[in-house]
Amino acid sequence: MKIRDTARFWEAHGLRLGSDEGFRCGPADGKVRGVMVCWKPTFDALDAAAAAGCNLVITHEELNFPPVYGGGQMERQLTGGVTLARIRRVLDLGLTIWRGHSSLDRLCILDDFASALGLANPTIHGDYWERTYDILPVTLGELARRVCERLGMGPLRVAGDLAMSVRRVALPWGGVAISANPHAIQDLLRYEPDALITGETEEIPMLAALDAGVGLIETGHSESESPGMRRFAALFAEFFPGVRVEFYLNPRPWSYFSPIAGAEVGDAGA
Amino acid sequence: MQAREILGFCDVHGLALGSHEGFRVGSPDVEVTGILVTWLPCRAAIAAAAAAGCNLLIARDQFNFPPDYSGALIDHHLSDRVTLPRLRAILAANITVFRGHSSLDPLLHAALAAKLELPAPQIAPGGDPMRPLYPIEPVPVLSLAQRAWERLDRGAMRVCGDMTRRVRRVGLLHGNLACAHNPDGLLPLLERGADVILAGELDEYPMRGATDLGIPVIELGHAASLAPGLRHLADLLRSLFPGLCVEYFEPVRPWQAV
Repeated sequence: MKIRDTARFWEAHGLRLGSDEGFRCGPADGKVRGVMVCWKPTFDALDAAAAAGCNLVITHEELNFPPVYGGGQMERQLTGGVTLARIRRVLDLGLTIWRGHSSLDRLCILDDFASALGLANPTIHGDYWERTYDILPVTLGELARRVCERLGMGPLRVAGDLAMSVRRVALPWGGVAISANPHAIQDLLRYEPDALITGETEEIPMLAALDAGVGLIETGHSESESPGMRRFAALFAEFFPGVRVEFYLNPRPWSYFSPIAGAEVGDAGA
Repeated sequence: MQAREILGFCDVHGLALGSHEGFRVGSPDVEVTGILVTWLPCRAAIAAAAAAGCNLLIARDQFNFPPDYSGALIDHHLSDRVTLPRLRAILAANITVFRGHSSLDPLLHAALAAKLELPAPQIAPGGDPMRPLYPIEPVPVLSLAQRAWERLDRGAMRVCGDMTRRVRRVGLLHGNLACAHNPDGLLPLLERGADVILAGELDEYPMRGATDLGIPVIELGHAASLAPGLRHLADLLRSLFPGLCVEYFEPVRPWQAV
């Protein structure tokens, strides 16, 4: 397989690449020695790819920081900082970065987040992501504990009354629930969920959910999208038999600090 | 005193209001019965203002959700479950809402730095006064986290990076200036040589950016990081308008770890 053949997977699955997808850095020519699929091309992911002998990294998120969605411009990031350091690492390690973002959201990311949570048979109200899941009544606190268990995660951030009853949930996965996203939470609230199980979020959307009387359980940006990227890796391997495809799990980047919560620094990550 | 006289505070303190600041709801001509200062006019804050008999609510952030920096327009969200109930509560209590945002940044930043007992800041020649570095005696990141926890609201905080690393140059960002939607927030501090970041709130992109540069981060909390400055603002308003009831509504951290 040639590196350039990566696009064939998208074509075969009828997926249109958006402007935020495709080759991002490194040569598009040459032969694939191995593929590393990950959520984001951080240093640890790039090093893992090189260590595994992979020269093609397929990632869901951006290489650059600050990101494009935040108004960051690569043109202003090439004199230092995070972006330049990552590009240097990509080139030093002889890697090529391909980004599959919104097309993969549609293909598998949201579906697999739901599956990982044990949710099935959504009611789809509009576009593919405007969906709710009806569940047997459970308290918000118990639901949060189940989410922890299903995803194999430590404590999660939860907003709302832990005793409130939840019968319907919606899933603003990934970064959909951050405050820079203008419509997603509002659109999902129209379908009257009792709780949102989000990817990552912030205090302003949490307060919005509280004011709407809706509970919120935050899993994490990478935690909510990695199940889908893992399945994408399997699909990609199936499509290109004979090509070695590895998956790297980007760990949750933070842990809790609370002197009264037990350990002084508890690793809440997976 | 009429609500519009609050602008006298801006004159006294030399604050130039941006286009996203000023009166947002209600009449500027109303006779003020009391002032409530808070971070964000959520329903709890609005209810607190009404209960305290305050009809002027001065807030750092917006009552509307999604916020304007997302590109959302209020007129698209006046039938929604967040903005509409907030607006209804504001109108029902005859409250006038005034937003003071970026003009308050120097005050908020300085109050947070003082609360955390940081020394005098170092500002690069020609640099942004809101992106100073604070030189400190070398300490492990963990002890900085301990200090922040003790000095702020004692809620669980998120941290990332090596907590045992000794650091000596603190970068400080209040509110959500370190979030990824603020492209000029975190990066200048990383590039200027901060070896630890104390941030109000941040999301995974900046956390991972800092981690790739080997820089630990302590997240103080959005509301928690603004509280010292907003409390100070309430004190200043009391001094300027003696005889007027000025309350401060402390926003609680909206999440708990479960």
